[in-house]
Amino acid sequence: MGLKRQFEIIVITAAVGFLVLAGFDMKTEHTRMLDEKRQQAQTLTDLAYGLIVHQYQLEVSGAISRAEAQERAVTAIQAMRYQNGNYYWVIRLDQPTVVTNAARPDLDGQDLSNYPDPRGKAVLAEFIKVARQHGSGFVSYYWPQPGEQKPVPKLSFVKAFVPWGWIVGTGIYMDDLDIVWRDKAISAGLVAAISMTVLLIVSLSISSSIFTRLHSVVERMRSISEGHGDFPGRIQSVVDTESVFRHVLGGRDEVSMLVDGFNRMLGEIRKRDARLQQHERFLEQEVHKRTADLQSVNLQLEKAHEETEVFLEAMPSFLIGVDANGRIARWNRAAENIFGVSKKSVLGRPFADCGIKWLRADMADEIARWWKVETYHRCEDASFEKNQKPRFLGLHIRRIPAAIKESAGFVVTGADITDRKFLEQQVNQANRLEAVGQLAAGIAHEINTPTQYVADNTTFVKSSCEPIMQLLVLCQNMRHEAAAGPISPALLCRFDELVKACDLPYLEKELPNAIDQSLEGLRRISWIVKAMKEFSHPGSNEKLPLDINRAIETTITVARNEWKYVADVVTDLDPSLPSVPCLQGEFNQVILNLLVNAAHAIAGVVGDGAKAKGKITVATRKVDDSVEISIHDTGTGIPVEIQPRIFEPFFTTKPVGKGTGQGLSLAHSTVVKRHHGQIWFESAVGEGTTFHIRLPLEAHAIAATA
Amino acid sequence: MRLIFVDDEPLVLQGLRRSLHTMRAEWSMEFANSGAEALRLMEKEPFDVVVTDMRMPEMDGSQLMEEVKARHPRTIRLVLSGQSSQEAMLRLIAPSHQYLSKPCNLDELKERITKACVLRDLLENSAIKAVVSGLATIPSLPVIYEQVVKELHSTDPSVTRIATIISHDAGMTAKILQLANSALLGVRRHISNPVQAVSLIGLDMIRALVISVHIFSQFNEEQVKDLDLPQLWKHSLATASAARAIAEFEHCTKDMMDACFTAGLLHDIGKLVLIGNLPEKYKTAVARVMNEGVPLIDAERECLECTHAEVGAYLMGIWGLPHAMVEAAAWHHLPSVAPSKHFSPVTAVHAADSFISAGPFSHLSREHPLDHKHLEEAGLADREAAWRKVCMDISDSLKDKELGQ
Repeated sequence: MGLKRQFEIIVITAAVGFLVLAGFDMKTEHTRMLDEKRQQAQTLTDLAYGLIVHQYQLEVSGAISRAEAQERAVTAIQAMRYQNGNYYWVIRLDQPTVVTNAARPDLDGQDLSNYPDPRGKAVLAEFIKVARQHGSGFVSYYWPQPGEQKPVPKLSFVKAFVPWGWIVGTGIYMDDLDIVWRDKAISAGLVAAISMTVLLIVSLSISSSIFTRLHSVVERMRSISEGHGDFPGRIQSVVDTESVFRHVLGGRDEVSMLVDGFNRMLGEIRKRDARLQQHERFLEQEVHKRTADLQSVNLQLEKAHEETEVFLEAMPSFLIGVDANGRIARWNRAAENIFGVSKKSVLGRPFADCGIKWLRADMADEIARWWKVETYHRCEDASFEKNQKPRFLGLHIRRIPAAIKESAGFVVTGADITDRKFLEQQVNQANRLEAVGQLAAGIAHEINTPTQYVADNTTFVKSSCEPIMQLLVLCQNMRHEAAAGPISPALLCRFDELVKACDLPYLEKELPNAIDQSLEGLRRISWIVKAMKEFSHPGSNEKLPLDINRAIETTITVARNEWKYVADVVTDLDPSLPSVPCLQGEFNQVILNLLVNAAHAIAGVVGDGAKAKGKITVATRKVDDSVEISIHDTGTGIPVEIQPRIFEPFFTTKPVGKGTGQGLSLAHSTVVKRHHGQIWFESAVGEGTTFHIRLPLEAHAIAATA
Repeated sequence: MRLIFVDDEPLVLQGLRRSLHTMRAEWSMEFANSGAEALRLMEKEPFDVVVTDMRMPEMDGSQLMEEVKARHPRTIRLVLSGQSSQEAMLRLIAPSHQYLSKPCNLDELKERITKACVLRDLLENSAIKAVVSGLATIPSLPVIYEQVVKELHSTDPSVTRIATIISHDAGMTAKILQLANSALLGVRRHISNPVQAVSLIGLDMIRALVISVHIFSQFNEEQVKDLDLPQLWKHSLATASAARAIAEFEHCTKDMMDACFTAGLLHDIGKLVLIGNLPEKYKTAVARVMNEGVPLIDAERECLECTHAEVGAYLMGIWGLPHAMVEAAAWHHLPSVAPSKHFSPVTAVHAADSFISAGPFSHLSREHPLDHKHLEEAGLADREAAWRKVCMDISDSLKDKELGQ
């Protein structure tokens, strides 16, 4: 049973109770009113009775006679009236005869024993019966109102006055009482009905307001409890009546507070729910993410693994893994290609038995050494035979740390460097040729200039030859004539003419010069060509004893065009200098680079020859077990801040296209790496720079490789 | 004629002195061991020609050339150098007229000097001489200049397109031929075909020259707007085409046809020089032609004391362009004065100019009477009608083409 129904029962019960109470009250009122009337009838009867008693006492006292007394009594009673003409009557005790009836004198003295009321009651007999039995008492009956014909209910009190045998009485008409009572009951009923209505309306509206909201609360709670995800909106906490009530009551009721509370709770729940949902989503996302992460990490790992495999397969270097037992565990594609041995055929076999035909006699010892390698070892000179041809390998051996794999073996990586070796040789040659190319324009100039004057002089000689030959022929003729006799004046005249025409004194003076200078030109040409040839001689890949002084002079010659416009070159070469084991081509290159740099440094000071020339001094001397070469210039000097960098490859201060930044770097590597010598410099900005090279006289134990 | 040779190598100077000893009657020669000495000597007495080495200490050849150009603009400047790098060439383009490469044989040296000076006396106005020898470029029509620059800047420049544009413009053609005929390229023959010249020099070099060295230039349109340069451009091209057509009619060799075309293109180059450098004076001369009907040559002589023919020939002479071009420019109005008495580019250009000027492509003057004496001397007196037709055909087809555009 719903709370609303219970509440309704309460309200209805209250209403019923109220009605019952009202009815009971009305009943009581009726009884009270009746009692009051009875009391009144009794009192009024007693009043009349007293009057009779008074007359009787007068009779007894003898003041008056019975008849008189009775007469007086009847008169008095007849005159007595009360309440709107109500009256008294007296009947006889012994028989149903009326003594007097104040309202109907016509009945006086009549026997009314046959006078029943409408319900058949013998009224007077009843009076007599009650009076005889109890002396007095009430009798209810029907009797018409005075002046009326229609009998109406009446209650009368009768009292017997025995001495005279009378019964005196008076009565109240019950319809009077009922009318009053009915009026009362009606007004009371009206009040009750109004109260009831108000009660019902109020209680129903309250119940409605309460229960509507409660119902909403309940509905919502049910809805929530049944898990309909979304929350319905707020409960309308303020219905009209409620607002009225609130207004009237000046406050908020508990339901409102409940609803508010519920709403708050709902809000709170919603918030929490939102938070929960958020959290849930977050968790879900997190889980998804973590899962995805894990998957992607897995994928990555797999991919990485695959990639590693691909890399290993794709790398141009071969990779051979050897386990602790000396058996081959890895053999990549490059290894297959380089050694011509398939992976399948070689996996699991001992490394010593892998099918590579080593060309080094002590290769077994070398491999044995790899087992003692702690971390890394390099083997540059391993060669093997493939297709009846030697191939060169550069090997890198790395130990696998025991921590990584239980079986700690080693990994051999490397590449076939045969082609590289070949290329290196070519590049070496190409470098020299490039140097020659750089010099070519200068050398061309150096050759073109003497060629110009050799050609001019030769032209001059040629053009001079003709008149000279003519003169000679003439002389010969004159000689013949002189033998025969005197020389004819014609011939002499002709001779003078020829001498004059060919400007003989000029020829005499200039011809020897022309020939000398032609020879000088030819000497210069052949000198530079020879120097060029010497300079660009490919040399050998081995260090051979080199006459350093001569090599320096050659280089100065080929580079002449590079320095002659800005500087003079002074040499201070120790004639007793011993030969030094050198790679000639590379040594020449170093000297050339330093000379050209010196010339450029001086050009920086003197401009393009606008000022006096600078000076380059090249000196050699023997110092202990080595030879020192110094090249000094009076150039700009090297600023302190770039001094540490000048040997770096590609470092250049020259404008684009002027220098590659390779010169000093090459010089450094040639001197230090290839010749195990030293190269250093002293420089002061504004004063110049001196480069020193020191080369050891004893060839270094390790043969230089090309 | 006075020449001065400059070289830091005394042996070269001595060699030259000896070998040129035979020229002592015609040439008065001085030999200077340095640029400074050369300038001292030139200060004392002007020289007609200076021949200098390139690489010398203190003052090098290009510095000397710049000095000479500034101080003695009329002196013809030749370089004789053993240097052969591109860089040197770029540095020399502007200040020198011609470049000779060591070793240079004596005959070539003599020929170069002689030809550069042969028209020296033709041009009497020494002020104009100074202007012409100071010229580094002949301005082109802005439109044409922009075409070349645009093509060179394009992502895929074509040698053929560049050559075509250049070969249609007198200024550019003259400059390109100057470069191509210099010894810098190591080519020892006369080049008169600009297309050949462009491919010889090469696209990269042309680009460097045009963009960095500015071997080409353009007219200031505002300055020359009354002189109808586009018409001169059309006239030159029409004359060139007509001269080639005449050569073709005469069954000449391809080289001769090319030479005729180029000579035709360049025959009025003197006008470009005068317009570019003396626009106001030239406008006066043009006004005389327009208002009083004075022949252009006479008006030029009157107002400028020289003719465009002389100026053009002088310029091409000192620039070392093939002699046929120089002659064609010099005598295109009156070829009978020219030394050559047979069919040559002078003949073709003269006839072409005469016939073209009668048609829609005339420039300034329609009066170019045919030199019958020259035709008779060359045995071509009967060609007039045929050549006229050839030229009219060219003129018509060019006109059609122009209208068609």
